[in-house]
Amino acid sequence: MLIHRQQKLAIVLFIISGSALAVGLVLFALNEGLNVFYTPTEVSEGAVPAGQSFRIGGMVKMGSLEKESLEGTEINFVATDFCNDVLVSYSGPLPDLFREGQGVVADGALNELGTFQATQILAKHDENYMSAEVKASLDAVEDADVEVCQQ
Amino acid sequence: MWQWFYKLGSPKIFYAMTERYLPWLTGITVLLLGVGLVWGLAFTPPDYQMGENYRIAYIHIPTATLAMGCYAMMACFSAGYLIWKIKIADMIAKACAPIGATITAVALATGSLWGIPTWGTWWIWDARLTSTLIMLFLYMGIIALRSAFDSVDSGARACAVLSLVGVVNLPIIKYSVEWWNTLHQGASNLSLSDTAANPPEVWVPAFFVGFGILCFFLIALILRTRNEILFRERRAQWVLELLSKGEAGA
Repeated sequence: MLIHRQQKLAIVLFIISGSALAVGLVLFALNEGLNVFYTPTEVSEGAVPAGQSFRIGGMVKMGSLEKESLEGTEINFVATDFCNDVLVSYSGPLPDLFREGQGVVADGALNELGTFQATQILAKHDENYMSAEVKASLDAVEDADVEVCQQ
Repeated sequence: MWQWFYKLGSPKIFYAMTERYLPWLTGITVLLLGVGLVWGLAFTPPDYQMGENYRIAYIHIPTATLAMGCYAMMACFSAGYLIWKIKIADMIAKACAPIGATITAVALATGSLWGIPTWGTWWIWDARLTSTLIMLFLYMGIIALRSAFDSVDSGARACAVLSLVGVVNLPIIKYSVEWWNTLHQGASNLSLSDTAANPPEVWVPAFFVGFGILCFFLIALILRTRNEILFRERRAQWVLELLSKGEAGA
C-alpha cells in the first residue's frame, strides 16, 4: 500500500479506537446507573436509593401471588432473584404476561415496613419461544422451572 | 474475482451491471418475503406464553438485525471512501443512511407494538431500546450532516467520519442485554431439535423473512446508488447518451 493510504487507514483506525475508548470509559463510569432495575439482593443489601422511587426486577415467586379481594385489583406477591425476596404490593392494571414464575419489573418505592409499594408493573419475558406442545414435552423431561441462587 | 470487484468500482459499469441483477433480486425478494411472512404469521404454532402476540417477532427481529447490518455496511463503505477515495463507496454509503433509518424505525415501531400487550408498556429507557434509538438518531444525523455541505467531497468526508464514530454503538446494542439489566429479553439460542426451546418451526420462517428483507434492502440500495450515479455523472458522456435515448427514466 502507498504511504498516504496507510496514513488514511491509520486515521480510520484511530477514529474507531478513539471513540470506542471514550464511549467505553463513559459506560464504565455509568455502569450501575444503566441498569433499568435493581435486584432483590441489591434491595436487601440496601444498595437502592433511599426515599425515592426506583424499579426492582425479578421473578414472581411460585405460590406467592395473592389477591386482597376477589373483585379488587389489589395484589401482593414476592419478587425473587432466587437469593433474596422482596414483598411487593400493587393496585392497578396488569400486563397479560404477569403471572407466577414469570419475570417482573415493578416501579415504586419501599415503605417503612420494607414492602415495595409498586405504582407500575411490567412483565419481562425470556428469549425462549416455542409452542405449548414443545413446552409440555420439555416440562415432562426436566423440572425446567426450578432455579437456584447463583452467587 | 478482483477484476469483477474492480469493475464494480466504476460508476458506469456499476450502473450497467446492477441493471441485470435487479429483476432477479425482485423475484427472490417476493418469494422469500411471501413464504416467510405467510409461514411465520399464519402457520407457525402460537407461543406457549405470548400466544399470537409473538408473531410480530417475525418482522421485529429481522428488521432490528438488518438495521445494525446496514450500519456496519455503511461504515465499511465510509472507511473504503476515506482510505481509497473510491467514489462509488461514498455513493453507496450515502444510499445506506435513509434505508437504514427507515429499517431502524420499523424495528422500533414493531418492538413498541409487541411491548404493549406483553410488557405492559410501549417504551422503557433500558439499554437495548435506548441504544437502538441512538442508532436511529445517528442515521438521521448522518443524513442531515451531508445535506449541510455544499461541496460533495466535504460532505462525504464528514459523513464518513461520523459513520465510523457511530460504529461504537453496534456492540453496545448487541451486548446491552448482557451487560446491564434490561426489560428487553436476550438473544435467542436457536435449536436444531424439535423438542427444545426455539425449535426450527419457530426460527426457519424468520430466516426467510430476514433474507427477504435483506434482498429488499439491496434493491433499495442499488436503486438509490444508481440515482446518485446519474446525478453525480450528469455531465459525463455516457449519462448524456443514456438520457438522449430516454433509458434513464423521467
